[in-house]
Amino acid sequence: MENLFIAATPSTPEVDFRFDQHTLSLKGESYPENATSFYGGVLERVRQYLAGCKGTEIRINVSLAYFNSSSTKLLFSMFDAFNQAALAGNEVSLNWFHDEDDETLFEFGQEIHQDYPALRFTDVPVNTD
Amino acid sequence: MDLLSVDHFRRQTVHRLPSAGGISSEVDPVAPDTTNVTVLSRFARDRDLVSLPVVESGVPIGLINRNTFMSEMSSPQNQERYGPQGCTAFMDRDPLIVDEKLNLEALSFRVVEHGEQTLAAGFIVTRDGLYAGVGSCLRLMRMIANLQAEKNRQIRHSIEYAGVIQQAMMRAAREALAHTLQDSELVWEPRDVVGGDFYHFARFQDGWFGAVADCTGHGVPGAFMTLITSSLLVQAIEQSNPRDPAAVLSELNRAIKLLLGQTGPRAGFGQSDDGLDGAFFWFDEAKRTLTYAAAKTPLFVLDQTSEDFVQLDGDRMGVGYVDTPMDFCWTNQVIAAPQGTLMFVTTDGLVDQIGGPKQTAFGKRRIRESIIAQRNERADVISMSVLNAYSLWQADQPRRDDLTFLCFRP
Repeated sequence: MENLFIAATPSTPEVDFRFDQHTLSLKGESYPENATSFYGGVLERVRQYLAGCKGTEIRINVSLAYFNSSSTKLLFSMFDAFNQAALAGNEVSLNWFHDEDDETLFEFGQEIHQDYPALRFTDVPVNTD
Repeated sequence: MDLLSVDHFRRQTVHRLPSAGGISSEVDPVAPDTTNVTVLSRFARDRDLVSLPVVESGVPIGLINRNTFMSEMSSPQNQERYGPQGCTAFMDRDPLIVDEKLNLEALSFRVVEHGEQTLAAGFIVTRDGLYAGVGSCLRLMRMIANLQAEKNRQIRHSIEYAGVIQQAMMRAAREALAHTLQDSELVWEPRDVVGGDFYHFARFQDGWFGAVADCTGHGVPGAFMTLITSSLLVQAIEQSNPRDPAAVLSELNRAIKLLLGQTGPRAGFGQSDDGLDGAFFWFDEAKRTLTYAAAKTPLFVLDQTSEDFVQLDGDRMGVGYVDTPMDFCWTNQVIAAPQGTLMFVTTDGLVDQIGGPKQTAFGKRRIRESIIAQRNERADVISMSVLNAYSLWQADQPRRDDLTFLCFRP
């Protein structure tokens, strides 16, 4: 399956999904005017990719500094798809990167950890000083 | 009317979008056998002539650009050698040629595709395939810039007027709040003139009902959602009971899901999936208790004897969304609110704003700190202190979301 790369804009994150290496990374900010149109295609590709995974080790790196509520809903749909894949026997790890001083992002990560227990969640506070 | 006056009438009274023909001028063309000496004298005579079209039996075959031509003909040797020859030697044989009816947007893409030479030399305009004039890219740029400014102006005016309507819709609530709670301050700042944040306030004989909510999206779609929410909320209060904010949330959830058809599993990505997060309150004046029910919107309570806030969390379930069950029941929490208890509720726009030295979220901790530093002041002073801290944090970062918060002592 072909890899997916979408360059970042001020209001959409960089999408770097290397399906061949089973490493999917999201980086930047997310507050597009129409979140569904941005994430619709991405989510479609992710679902196709996951459908072909069997006992695969998948690594997800998320490093988002800001996301609005409509992006949140779609990100949760994506995490839900990963969670399903983990329940289906894949080993899915989620690395949640954020600034070590950013309590809001830390708390958000904890929510994801709670909601999607099949994912191997790692909180990664980063010192940016 | 004869044909001529019909044409005149149309030109004068009917506004038409400008096209390639509208920005070209009829430059007298030359024939392919016109000598370079003649071309040179045309350029010398007319200082503003940028490009000279070459036309054969009415059909354009090339464009001679002043700069290219002049540099070729600059030396006396070349003037002597090429002067008597036909002018096709120095003409561009592949200039951009467009029909007069081509619209300016399409034209500008064609110009860019055609390359740098076209920007300098311009383009030839034809009518039914025959030469009609030469267009300048400078004029094209000016027209495009004007069109852009005009479009922006129209959109801005439209949104500004929508803002008048949106504020009118919430005016009654704002007045009821100011009347009922003397020590309160409501800040409502949409990111783009109109927004998706929303508040409601209504007084009853034995108390008051209040709501602060964040509808999906911001800008125009967000504002649409606040209009829907506003009217459905009024109905929901009538149909259930303002003294039971959890029931009002449930009623509103059902109403939004039905109105937007967000009842079944998602059909596809074109389908809407919109709703709101928010905190709903009922204050019982006799018992001095506050009943709080919320969708993902915490309430901060600071009573006079405590050092820090107590944070009450609502249910982690948004209102109206496709994934929210039709019969979901939110939870009421009842707290005592003795005189002097300070309450604070905000949408995520305040908490999540990026800023500070490391471009991180403003966060709840800084909000709590700026309130506690002013805890003995009136609600309006406290709100000002929160807004100041927020602005300092935001600094030169663009605002990411709408911002609404309510600070009050019931």
